[in-house]
Amino acid sequence: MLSVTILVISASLFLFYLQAACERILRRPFEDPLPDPIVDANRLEFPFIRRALEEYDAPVDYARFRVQLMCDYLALIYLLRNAANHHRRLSGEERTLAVYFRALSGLLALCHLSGLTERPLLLKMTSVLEYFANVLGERIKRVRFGHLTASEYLMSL
Amino acid sequence: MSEGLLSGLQYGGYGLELVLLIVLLHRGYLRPLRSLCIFVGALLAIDAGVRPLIIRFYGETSSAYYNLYWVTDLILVLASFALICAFFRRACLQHRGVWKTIRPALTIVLVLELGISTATFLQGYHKHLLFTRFIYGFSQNLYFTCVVLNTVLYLMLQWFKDRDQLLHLLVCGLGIQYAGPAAAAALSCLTRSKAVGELFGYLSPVCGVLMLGIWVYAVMRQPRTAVRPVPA
Repeated sequence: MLSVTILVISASLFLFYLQAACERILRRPFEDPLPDPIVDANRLEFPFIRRALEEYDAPVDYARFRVQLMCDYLALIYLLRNAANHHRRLSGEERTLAVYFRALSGLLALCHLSGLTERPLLLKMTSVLEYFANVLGERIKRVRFGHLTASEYLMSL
Repeated sequence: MSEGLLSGLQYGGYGLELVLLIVLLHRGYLRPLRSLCIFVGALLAIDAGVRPLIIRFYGETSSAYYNLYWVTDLILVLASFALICAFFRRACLQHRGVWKTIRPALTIVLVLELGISTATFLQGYHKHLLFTRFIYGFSQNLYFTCVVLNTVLYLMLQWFKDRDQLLHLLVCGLGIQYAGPAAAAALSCLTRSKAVGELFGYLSPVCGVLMLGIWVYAVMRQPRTAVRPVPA
C-alpha cells in the first residue's frame, strides 16, 4: 500500500514538474511579443482561436480548432528549422516544447473522448505556438534581405 | 546498445555538470548561488573524479570502492538537503518572518531523520552492516524527505507569487531528479521484475540529465534578477 502511494505521488510529481518547467520556459519575455507579419504571412490561426476562447467565450469547435492548431504547429516547426537557422535543427528548448505540444495534443484527444472541458488545454497549446512565433520573430529580425528588414520582406510577399 | 545508451547518459551527465559549473562561474553566480555552485562542484568531483579514480586503482569489486561509494552517496544526499535549505532561504529573502519559522523546522527534520535512522540501525547492530544499514537507510529517508520538502518549497513559491524565474526552474529541475527515481523505486518494489529494474537503471540518469538540462537553461537563458533581502 505504501509503495502504491509513493508510486502514484512520485509519478504525479514527476509529470507535474516537467509540465511546470515547460510553462516556465513559455514565460520567457520577448522584445516584440507576437510579431504580426509572421502571423499574417503564414496565415496562422492560433491568435484567432485564443481570442475566440478568451475574449468572446466562444463554444469549443474541437475538430476545427484541433486541425488549425496542428497546421500552425507544423508550419512553425518547419519555419523554426529552416528560416534563418543555419543549423537546420531545433534547439533543446524548442524540441522540449514540441514534445510538450504533442503531449498536450494527446491529452486534448483524451479530454474530448471523456467529455471533459478542452478549453484550458487549447489555450496552453496556443501559448506554445505563440512562443514558437516569438522565437521565429526574434530570429528573423536579425536577418536583412537587401535593403528590407525581414518583416518588410514578409509583408511584401 | 543498452550499455552504449547508459554510457551516453552517464557521459552526457558529466558534460552537463561541467558546462553548468563553467556557466555558473562565468556568469558570476558564485556569490548569489554559492550553494548551487558547491553542489554542482561536488557532483562533478564525485561522479567524474573520485569514483572513477578509485575504480581504476582498486577495482569495482574492492571494499575501498564499496566504502567510498556509500560515503559519497551520503555526502551527495546531505548536499542536496543543504541545497534545498539554501533554496528555502532564497525564497524567503522577501519574507524574513517565514524564514525564522522554517529554519528551525529544517533543523528538526534533519535531527529527526538522524534519530530514526540511528534507532533503526541500533535495532540490529552489526559492525559490518554499518554502510548498508545505516548509510543506506539514512540516505533513503533523507531522499524522501527532500521530495516532500521540494514540493513544499514549490507550493511556497506559488503562494508568495514569487517572480524569481530562476529559482522556479531550479526547483522544478530538482523535483524531476527526486520524483522520477522515487516512482521507479516504488514500481520496482511493487513488481520486483527484472524489466522494471532495468527501467530504474535508465530512469535515474535520464532524470539527472533532465535536471541538469533545466538548470543549464535556467542559468543561461533566464534574465539575471537580483533578489534583495528586506531589511530587518
